[in-house]
Amino acid sequence: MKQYHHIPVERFLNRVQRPGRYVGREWNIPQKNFENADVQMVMAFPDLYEVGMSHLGLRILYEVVNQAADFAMERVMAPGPDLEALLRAEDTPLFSLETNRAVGDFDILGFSIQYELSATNILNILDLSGLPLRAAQRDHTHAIVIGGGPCVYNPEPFAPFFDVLLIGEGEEAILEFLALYKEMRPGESDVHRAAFLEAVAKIQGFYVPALYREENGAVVALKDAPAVVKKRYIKDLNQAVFPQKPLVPHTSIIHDRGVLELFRGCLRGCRFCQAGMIYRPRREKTVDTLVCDAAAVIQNSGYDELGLLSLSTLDYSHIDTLVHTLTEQYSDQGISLSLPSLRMDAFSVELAKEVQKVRKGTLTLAPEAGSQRLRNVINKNISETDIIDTAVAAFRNGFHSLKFYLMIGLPFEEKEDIEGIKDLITKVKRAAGKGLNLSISIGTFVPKAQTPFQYCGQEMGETVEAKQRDLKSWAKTQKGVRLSYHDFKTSFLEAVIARGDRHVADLIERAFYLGARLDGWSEYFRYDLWLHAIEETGIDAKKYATRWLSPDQNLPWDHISCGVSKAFLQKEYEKAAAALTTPHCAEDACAACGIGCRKAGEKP
Amino acid sequence: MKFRINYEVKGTLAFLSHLEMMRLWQRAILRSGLPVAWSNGFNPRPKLSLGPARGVGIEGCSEYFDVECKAKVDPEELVKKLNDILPEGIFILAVREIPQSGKMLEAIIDEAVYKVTFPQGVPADAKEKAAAFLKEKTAPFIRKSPKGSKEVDLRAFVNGIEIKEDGIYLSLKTSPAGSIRVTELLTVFGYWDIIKDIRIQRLGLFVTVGTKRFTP
Ligand code: SF4
Repeated sequence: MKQYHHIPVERFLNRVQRPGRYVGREWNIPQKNFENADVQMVMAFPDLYEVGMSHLGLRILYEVVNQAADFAMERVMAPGPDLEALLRAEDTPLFSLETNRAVGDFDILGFSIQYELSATNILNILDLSGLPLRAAQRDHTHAIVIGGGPCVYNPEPFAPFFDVLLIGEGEEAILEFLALYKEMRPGESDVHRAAFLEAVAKIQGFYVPALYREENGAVVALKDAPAVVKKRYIKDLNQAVFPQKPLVPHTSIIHDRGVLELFRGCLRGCRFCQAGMIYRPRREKTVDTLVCDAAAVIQNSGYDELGLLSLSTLDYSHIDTLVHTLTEQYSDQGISLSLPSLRMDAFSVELAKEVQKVRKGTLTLAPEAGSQRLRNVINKNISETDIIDTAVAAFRNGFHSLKFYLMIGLPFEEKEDIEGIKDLITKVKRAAGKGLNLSISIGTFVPKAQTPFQYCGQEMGETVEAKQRDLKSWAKTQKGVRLSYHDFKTSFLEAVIARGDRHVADLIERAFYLGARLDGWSEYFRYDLWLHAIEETGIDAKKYATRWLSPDQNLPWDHISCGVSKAFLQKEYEKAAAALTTPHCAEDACAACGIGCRKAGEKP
Repeated sequence: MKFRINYEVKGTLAFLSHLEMMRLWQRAILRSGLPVAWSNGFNPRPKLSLGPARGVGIEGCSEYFDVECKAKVDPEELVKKLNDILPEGIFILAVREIPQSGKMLEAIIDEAVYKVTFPQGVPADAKEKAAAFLKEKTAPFIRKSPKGSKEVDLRAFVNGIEIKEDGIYLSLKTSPAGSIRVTELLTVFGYWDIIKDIRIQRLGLFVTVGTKRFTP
């Protein structure tokens, strides 16, 4: 039997800023004996607790695994700098939230990788757990380290640290993985471990990096591992497990509310958007399922707010029925609904009005680009009139603060497109009249694998920062307009990791050793450490971010398939260059993306 | 109907802040399905008020909060309903009905009794230290916070100190106008470096009426 170390957590909690992150014992922790299960897994979210617990995917997997009698899943998040310092000073390993056992002792350590810049947090968790960072240095006495999430659609920068990566949705795959673990007992010897990993590689969706090697810029399979790893997805969300008894955190988290997942997969086909490609096909839950989820979540949690979560939530086919049903049922109980962002049409405003009856918040609109030409390039199929009309309608209906999301540094962007942003804002203000508060958030384009813009290089920092400054000083002269933008350095590192290959892992590892942690948090981000790491490793980070790739060259992620075909991505890229749009296939003809839910040209 | 609820907090949940405890009770009450009264206004909340804040990490053996219900509720049922939906470490001990117009807990509670336990046993010099402290008229202490430093007289808040074999017992004054932390007192005793390993419990909260002491 394996020896698990119990960590006396109390003696650290006295000395950290937010002990609520580490106390565990949230309401709805499953009533099961975690320490008795045949296979014991700890799932890590490589960011602070308030981010990790706001992520629905983690909660779903937690529910799936803990419903199974033979398996158990506990949680661990990235420690804050204060706890990390104490653990290191007192030579104490990182612990799970449920049973406070040392993370390195578990059979399996999982990571949910949602954000490129959580890379150093992954290494920190491995290190604080006493595990060797690289899979090649681990043996049968160590936990099997598995990862998943959107970032692994280009797995290479993470590959050397993982024994296994799962491409796609985990609900079914994780149970197959755990069952195989139980059967093959990889902890018994190195031979068992190797056999287990080879067997895992044969299950659809699982990528075992050790069984692949880089050749001429492509990643090729050794032995009989599949040449291309195809993503997993579940067919029917109505049959899938949903956490109807959500864990209720004690400390406040980013999305501190109950959550309904309306559907997965967005078919709008924005060309910069990775989520829009990798989560296809579109699968909706029925209104009945959702009403039932809602009742359970509210009753079991005590939340007074319910978030309707999905990509482009208002595209849900029965959104009006759902919203009417829920508001009718819950508004007099003091329970409000929240929507992430608005679609740009009159219907959306009406709905927002209804949803916000209880509490009136800010509405968010995401036109993404300032000019029509550039919106066509990115395939954001909305007109200037739509944007202005929606903003005005929202304003007239009492939403006096609106938030706009826009992006700069997009492929094929010209100077006029930046002027287009100013122009659009000016027109919105003029149309709405006095009293409208606009807060404009300017993001920087980060090219992502598995999108039509995967071929595009990121714009250089000098020119992006010049655009940021120009927009900022313009906004200062505008009444009622507040403009903010993200630090370009962050977007740059995101691009390096998003489009990197296995060599980028060396850079991440070096940055970690130099002390980089929590890079997504401006208060902890230390760009100087990354520059140092770039210098020491000699890795040309800029090349990874800014290079334009040719559609006929090998890509570092060609061995991973999200179901959308390379031919489709190429065609979309070419159309972008010509500023041609592709219609939303939920409402129009099938554009033959390769996922195969309809035949080319077929109407919905 | 208004109820005064007596509960305990043990283990790691003792590390929740006052604000976090507040939210915990709000959610627990919503989960329980009890017919709680809501506050009016922009952000309606269940009507409840907590007793004086506990220092982070201090276990509460006998804590209180008041809650208002808009319909008749049987106190025993209330205890059961709440205990069914409380996380491990928090437990309702007793409930009693109180008058609708009574004063807030924070306003009436004026004394808190603590017990400090040391893993290596009570320090040998504790009796001496306590006697010396109690003999003084004042005991100035510089309290540092992100907002700056402030001098407080610890002595003015100490009603009594008792050293027993199983720990140090402290009776401290508390009021909305001010209170001191147990750790501040232990710091002037010179026990700062062992603070991370000690256990502090708040044994009880009291109301003084005349010369008599009652539980709230
Ligand atoms: S197969 Fe056709 S309908 Fe289905 S997501 Fe792709 S383009 Fe749209």
